[in-house]
Amino acid sequence: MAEANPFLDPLRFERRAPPCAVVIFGANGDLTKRKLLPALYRLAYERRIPPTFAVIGNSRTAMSDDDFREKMRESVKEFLEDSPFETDLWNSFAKNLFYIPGDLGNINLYQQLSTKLAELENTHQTGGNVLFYLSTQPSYYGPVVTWLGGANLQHGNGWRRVIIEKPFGHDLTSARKLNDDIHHVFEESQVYRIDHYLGKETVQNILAFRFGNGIFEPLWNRRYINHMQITAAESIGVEGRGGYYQEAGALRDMIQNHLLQVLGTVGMEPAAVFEANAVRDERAKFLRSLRIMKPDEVMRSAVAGQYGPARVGTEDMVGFRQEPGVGPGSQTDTYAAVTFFADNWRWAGVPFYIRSGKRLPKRVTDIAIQFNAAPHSPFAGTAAGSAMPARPNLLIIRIQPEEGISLRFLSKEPGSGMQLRPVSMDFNYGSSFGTRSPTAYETLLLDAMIGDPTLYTRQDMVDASWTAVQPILDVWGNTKFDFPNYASGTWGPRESDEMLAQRGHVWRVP
Amino acid sequence: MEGAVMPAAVQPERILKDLAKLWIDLGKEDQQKGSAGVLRASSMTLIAAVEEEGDAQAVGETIAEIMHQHPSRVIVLRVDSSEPDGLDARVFAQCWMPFGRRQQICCEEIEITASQSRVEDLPKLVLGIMVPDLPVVLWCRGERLFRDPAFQNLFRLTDKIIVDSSKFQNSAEALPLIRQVIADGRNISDLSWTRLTRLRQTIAQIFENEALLPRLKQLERVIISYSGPSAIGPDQVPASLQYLISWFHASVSAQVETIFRQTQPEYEILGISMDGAELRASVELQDNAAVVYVNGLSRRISFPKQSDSDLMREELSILGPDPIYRRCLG
Repeated sequence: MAEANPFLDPLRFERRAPPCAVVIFGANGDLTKRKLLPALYRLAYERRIPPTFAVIGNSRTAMSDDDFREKMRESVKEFLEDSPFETDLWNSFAKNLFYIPGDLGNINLYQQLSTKLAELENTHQTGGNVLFYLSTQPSYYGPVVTWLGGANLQHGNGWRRVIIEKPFGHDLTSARKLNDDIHHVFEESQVYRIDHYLGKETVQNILAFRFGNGIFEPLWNRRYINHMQITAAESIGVEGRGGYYQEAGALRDMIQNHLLQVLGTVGMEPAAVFEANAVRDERAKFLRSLRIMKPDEVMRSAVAGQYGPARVGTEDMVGFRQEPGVGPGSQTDTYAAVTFFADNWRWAGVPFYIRSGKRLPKRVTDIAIQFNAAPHSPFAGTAAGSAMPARPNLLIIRIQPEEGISLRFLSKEPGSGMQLRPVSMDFNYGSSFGTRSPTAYETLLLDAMIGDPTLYTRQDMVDASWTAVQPILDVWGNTKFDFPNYASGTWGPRESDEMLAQRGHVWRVP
Repeated sequence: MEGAVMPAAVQPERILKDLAKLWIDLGKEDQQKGSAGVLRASSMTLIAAVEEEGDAQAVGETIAEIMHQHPSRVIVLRVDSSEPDGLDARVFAQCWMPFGRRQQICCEEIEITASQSRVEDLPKLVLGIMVPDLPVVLWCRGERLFRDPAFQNLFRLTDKIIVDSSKFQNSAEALPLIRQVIADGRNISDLSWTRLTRLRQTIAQIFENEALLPRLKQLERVIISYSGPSAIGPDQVPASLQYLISWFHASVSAQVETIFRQTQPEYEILGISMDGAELRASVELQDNAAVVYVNGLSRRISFPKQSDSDLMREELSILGPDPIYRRCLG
């Protein structure tokens, strides 16, 4: 067993990264500039990164170490959120940034990388620990991992881990193939598939809310919960990413990964201990219990939509097909809504409605849990009952933009009569804990450096979520939709409302 | 932002009624402004005991900062030794609008001024106005009050007591008193210990390097350099230095020495160096930064000066006993 550091104080010390080198493939890309380097700098600002730390960036662009440092300095200054940029701290941090230009397909790149890592192990005392971050085009994920293996970079004096960005595959077959390619080189325990939704504070708070309190879990089942609605709405369109989005669509881009992982967190059984594999086992078990649709069920249980042009406020919005890089006859879903069922003891018969779309009325992500109505209302037939018909209790977990939890229930209106009205009891996450929350990338990068994969998806979870959406992709792939079918600035196509109406439900307006 | 102010009779029932009225008034005022409502937030009762008028003002500012992270019902107890006989109370609301939000958040504050002769009435008064079912923390700012047996009756109402031994006339004398409070079964912490967290964490981080960790066994010497009014003698080691020395003794078997580096009004730790076989490490504290040297490799890290509110935020996050602190307290 490894020796324990006698200076540690888990009660007071914040989690910190061990000595290591982070290798970023795609270091000239948007993700590195907007998210990764600002997150690493912020970790350094909070003293969560040791002096024995280094970053090696790679992309095809020819740059020196100093050029790279300067470029990253500008990015960090621009994209750092809620934090000051301190020149002295940056200068110290930047001394640990290095750059190796090169084509991903060129085997010499990996030899150069190997040499540089050995050098840093010596000069920066990184202990031989290396975290590879694949922030490249998805088609390179498999090949880069293979080339890393070719240069024997999956082993070393310390630990070796690899972070894979989304999308993890394009469908079930490609996801399995990518898993196979990765497993030829890395063990599953070395693979960190990132889903930044799981790094969000409020998604993590779902676990605290469900399993840290005694009062909710007894209600968290088919006996008391009527149905759930998960909404991830964006008010923006594809913002210049039409080419990429045309190949993805809302079902692949949001539901297959982010929202099914959120659903897994809401629907999973409690883990016996809060440890990575125990939590991931439960999440995976839930995802495996999702009912697989038969082809003839898909049209009743899943709705595809695409936004058309419309005037929103004073602005004229173009339709998806008019976006740059998008074909005039595109069949891509910019909106998807799906009804899932989990075939297990806890959730049998409870519909989980999930929807995600672009150009909806506002940006909001939330989970609405609707409880069964009271079995008998003594107010029915009275003036109170007719003025306000029974409304089921609603628990809303707000993920963004205003993170928090609300519980809606009926209350007597002040006055001599018995008039009921719904009221909302709110817990506002940001206001109740006024400190700055770490960004999802700060949390997830630190977790990967520490070696905690709790918030990363595992092979079986990815497999289960692709298995759940594959029948929908298959049917949609063979269907010619009459797109566009919803106007920008609305809550999606009519068919989506009809999907819920089959069971007497309606989408709530977030 | 400070809300409405009104006088309150000095009786728990009356204070609570005044508080209720305060909330109704705030709600009405807010409705008239057409804003999204006032959110009342409370996660504990925080009692701040002060002795001087000036300190009461300083504590007010600190509390306003703490409230954003630890919204509480705050009871400020000011014991005025110049008053012959008296007990007075008033209620406030501390409100703020979180950035980018439309809803005001408010915490309630009760200020009680008591003459020395009325200190023994305080526990009963406080007992009636604490928020039920939530933790109670007493932040005792003054040495005289901390030593006062009548005031010590308040200790049994609390889940945690916080003192700052650096504010004691002789901080070395604070430690036996703190030990006594623990022996009486109370939970207490000292902000002089809290001030060491970042430094201790910086040292711990050096040994998160697996290559360096085994070398700790060969660590021979730890030198703590400090400044202060004069070099310390064996019977007058300030609490912060005592804590740090004990922490090293509890963690490693090296010899621990102190070096007086410069004269200044208050004791302050300036740096730590550690020497042993194949190990040379140090942490030098500078203005708002620390420079860490490990076997020839240096790194500057951000180390901004900590205010009382920073220290209190840390302490209010830990409501249970702190075993490492107790070990170092001895």
